[in-house]
Amino acid sequence: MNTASRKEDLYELLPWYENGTLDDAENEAVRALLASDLDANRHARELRVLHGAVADEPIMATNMAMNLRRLYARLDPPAPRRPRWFMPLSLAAAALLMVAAGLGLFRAGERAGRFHTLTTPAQLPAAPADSVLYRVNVVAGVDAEQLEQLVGVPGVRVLQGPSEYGVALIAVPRAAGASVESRLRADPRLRFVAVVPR
Amino acid sequence: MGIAGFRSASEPCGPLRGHSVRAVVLRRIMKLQRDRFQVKESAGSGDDGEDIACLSQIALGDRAAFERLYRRYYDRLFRFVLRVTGRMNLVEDVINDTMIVIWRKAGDYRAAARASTWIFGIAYRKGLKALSRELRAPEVMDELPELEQPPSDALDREGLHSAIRQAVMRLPPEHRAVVDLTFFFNRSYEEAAQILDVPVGTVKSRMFHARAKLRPLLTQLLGD
Repeated sequence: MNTASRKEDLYELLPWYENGTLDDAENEAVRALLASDLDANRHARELRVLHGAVADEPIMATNMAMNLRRLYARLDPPAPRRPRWFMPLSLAAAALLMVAAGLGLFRAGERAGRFHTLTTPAQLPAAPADSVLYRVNVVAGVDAEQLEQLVGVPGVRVLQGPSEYGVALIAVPRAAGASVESRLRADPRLRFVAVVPR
Repeated sequence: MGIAGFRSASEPCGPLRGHSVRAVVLRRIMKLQRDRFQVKESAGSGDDGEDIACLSQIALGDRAAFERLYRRYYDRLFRFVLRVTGRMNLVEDVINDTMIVIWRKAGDYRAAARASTWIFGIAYRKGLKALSRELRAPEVMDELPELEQPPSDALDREGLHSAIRQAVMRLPPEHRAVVDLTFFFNRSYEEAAQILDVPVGTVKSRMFHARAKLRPLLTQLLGD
């Protein structure tokens, strides 16, 4: 490094000599320059004035608390507003889901098999074509023979039962249907009688 | 200390004291964070140690530490950002932009530089960005107009300082930043270079140009 460039380097350090942040070696070199160079002293004086002017500047900061609130609002933004179509669409979707679930359940029930009652059996035993079928429920202990006697009409056939709960299926000639029904209803041993559709 | 393990915004960012499980866990995490931050015993003293403690807690999502750091830096950042941008209307937003980066990136801070150097560096970049948004073509006065000032002997100290500050405000933002970091924040040229993210030579060069632009005024005011 020649003397001129060394001197330029030291001139460049003058601002930091002024603010006191140079290391010892740099400080020493600048001090030596100032001891021998009038122009450097003039620069140093200007920098001292500049330093004083900048350091003395009063700046009133604005309301910190208000700005902090704005900052928190940015850090925790409110949940985005949903568009107007969102609610009707979600209600429609929910309704659709419920209908689909209902249909699924209904179909599942159908697949599981039809539900049969005593008067709508899955399969009927063979019976004469001109007869009416009755499902009857008599008190426990009445057997098929006693049931035929209870009906008291010739041509009546007990097709099923009575079961241990007294449930039976009887075939009655169509002509005698009404009288058999009224006779059965009059008997205290009968709990229930109904025509079975064929 | 209020509730064990929690801290209010007015308390310093030292290690947490408390007996709750949360406090113990937080202390351990903080220790790990401190190791990660590579804080040396000698480096973490004074204000910088306090700042580093705040940053390590912010990295864990501690809002109280964040608010403390905000309060510690607000005035300094206000001054610095105003100097960089020269626009009062940008200052608050730039400070908040800076603090948001700190909130999100506190874990990225490495103790190779002072915490304040890191924070001022973020503020500087945010300030320049905001300024470039505001002024697509920043107006820079290369030649200072002749000041309509009375002769230097008629100027009192405040009048002299005011005239110089006006002249400083006419410098380009990059030059203003160097002047302010040097003469208001008393930063070394290495720290100024770190904050401005430029080589040391660029800092010296900017200072040289700033001085060259201010010299006519200073000479005039000093009556040389």
